[in-house]
Amino acid sequence: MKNINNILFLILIFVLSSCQPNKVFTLIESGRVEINNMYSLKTNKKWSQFEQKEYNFIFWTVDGYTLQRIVFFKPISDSESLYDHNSFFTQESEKRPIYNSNMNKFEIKEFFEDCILWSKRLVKIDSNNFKNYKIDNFDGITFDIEGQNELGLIYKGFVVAVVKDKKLYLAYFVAPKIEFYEKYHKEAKKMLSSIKFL
Amino acid sequence: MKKLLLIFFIFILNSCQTPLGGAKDVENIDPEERPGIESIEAGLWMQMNNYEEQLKTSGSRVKDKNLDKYLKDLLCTLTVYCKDIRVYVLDIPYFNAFMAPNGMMVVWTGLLLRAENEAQLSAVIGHEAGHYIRRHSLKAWLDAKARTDLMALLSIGLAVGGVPGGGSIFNVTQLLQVGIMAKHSRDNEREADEIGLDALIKAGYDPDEAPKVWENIIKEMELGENKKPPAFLASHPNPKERIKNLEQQTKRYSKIERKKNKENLKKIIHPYLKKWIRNEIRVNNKIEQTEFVFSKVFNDTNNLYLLKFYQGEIYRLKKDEEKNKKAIKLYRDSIKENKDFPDAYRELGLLLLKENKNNEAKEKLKKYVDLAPNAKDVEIVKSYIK
Repeated sequence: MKNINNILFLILIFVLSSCQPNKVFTLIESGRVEINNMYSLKTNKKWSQFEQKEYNFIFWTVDGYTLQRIVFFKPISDSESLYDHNSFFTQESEKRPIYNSNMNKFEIKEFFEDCILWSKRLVKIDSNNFKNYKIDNFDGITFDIEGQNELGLIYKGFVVAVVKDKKLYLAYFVAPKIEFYEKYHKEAKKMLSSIKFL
Repeated sequence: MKKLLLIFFIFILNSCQTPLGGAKDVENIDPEERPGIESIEAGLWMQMNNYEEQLKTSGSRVKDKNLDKYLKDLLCTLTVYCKDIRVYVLDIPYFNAFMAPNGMMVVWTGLLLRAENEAQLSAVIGHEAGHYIRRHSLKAWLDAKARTDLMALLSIGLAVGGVPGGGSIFNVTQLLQVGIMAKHSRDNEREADEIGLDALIKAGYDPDEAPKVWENIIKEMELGENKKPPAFLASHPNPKERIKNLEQQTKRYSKIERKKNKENLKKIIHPYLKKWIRNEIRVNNKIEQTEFVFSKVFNDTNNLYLLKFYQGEIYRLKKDEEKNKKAIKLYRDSIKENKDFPDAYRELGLLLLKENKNNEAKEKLKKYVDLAPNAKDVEIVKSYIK
């Protein structure tokens, strides 16, 4: 009987250890918040932060990923892509868009568009309002995006990106054009313009 | 001995040409005919109708009234079934088109880009309409159903006969089944080719353009990573065989016109050209393969500057120093052909900056601003001049 109890106890430990979450949702309170030891930014709203340890990005949302999201990518180095995790890999993986620190501003915009289409986040994407932009005094770019997902839902949003120490720091906001974009894009702009590198 | 007999039995069945499950008795569909509500065909239509509803709002669909009307009109010049067939365009940069049993025809943008003229596009649309007219989806479904039942019996037969390894038995029967299905499917494709060419000739198009569609695909595939088209176990006949069949069929017609209507097609796809070209580069195929596609898109002397420019784009987007040098040369060639094409100056200027040829780079970027002062990206370009 004692042996059976020991076995049951071990099984319980294995079951519990296999349940250890690698996906974490955290409530973000308003105020200045640090993101992935990269930079801090100021928010006036409460957001939910989603993090999965294998991914090279985290995102913030209020109502859910498909309804609005601000995606913060960890610094991208030479030969990396925005979506480098195995779960995005297909037989076409070797053809995925690759970042190169020698890219000019136009090529960074192309790189983002190519990554979004390659990962099928959106199946169509158009960029507008392509401008120079500064994040915490580092030269960068911003541009608006509009696209559609496979189901035909139209999304609007914007992207900010800078290159610092040859690494690409990129974040974007996107939400359905109907209702959610108007409701959140001003707040998202304010937040991303408040970024201070650590 | 038993094993040999069983294998022999399978090969006899495999070589048997009589379609099973009633597929042979399926007649052509009449214009505006709809399947009886309780028929198997009605079930297939219902499933496809559901899919079509999703397709109508899909983000991948190119929604353009002019393009839709152009394709519908083309369809109506080729067949009396134009009330039964609806053509949708999907923004996918590969050569493909398919026909669903309910009359939903789907054409990918990669095909529209690759078709050199209306006659070539007609060959494909006529071919797809042929699948609808001959009810090929229904035939394939009936045939597949019967084959599946037969193969299930054979699996048991082989197991009883003592062919070793359950897994391998399953693999053998599956392989045969796929072989038979593919053969049947290739027969359907041959029929559709014949109908397509007949429609094309009767509509006054040049039948010599039909085999060119396949010649170009063979060439493109040979330049690609796989080198050759998949011949065995494919759902279409070998392209070389298709070319031969189409050429032989053409000889049977006494009166042939030679309409190509290149301008009509090029005009209708012109608004999308830049985007579809970019999508083609985005696929990141081998340089020679993409260059071949572009050489067919811009195959007249008026467009040589665009051919050179987009060839330059293929090299630039590979993002490697040697390829940048090649891109610079191609942008220069593009400017030689057309001194007023702004995009070539912008890309040349940006690449020259990478090569540290700053003075020349700024000169080219200034030229871009002069030629396109209201361009959306002019602010960024000016920042590089500074």
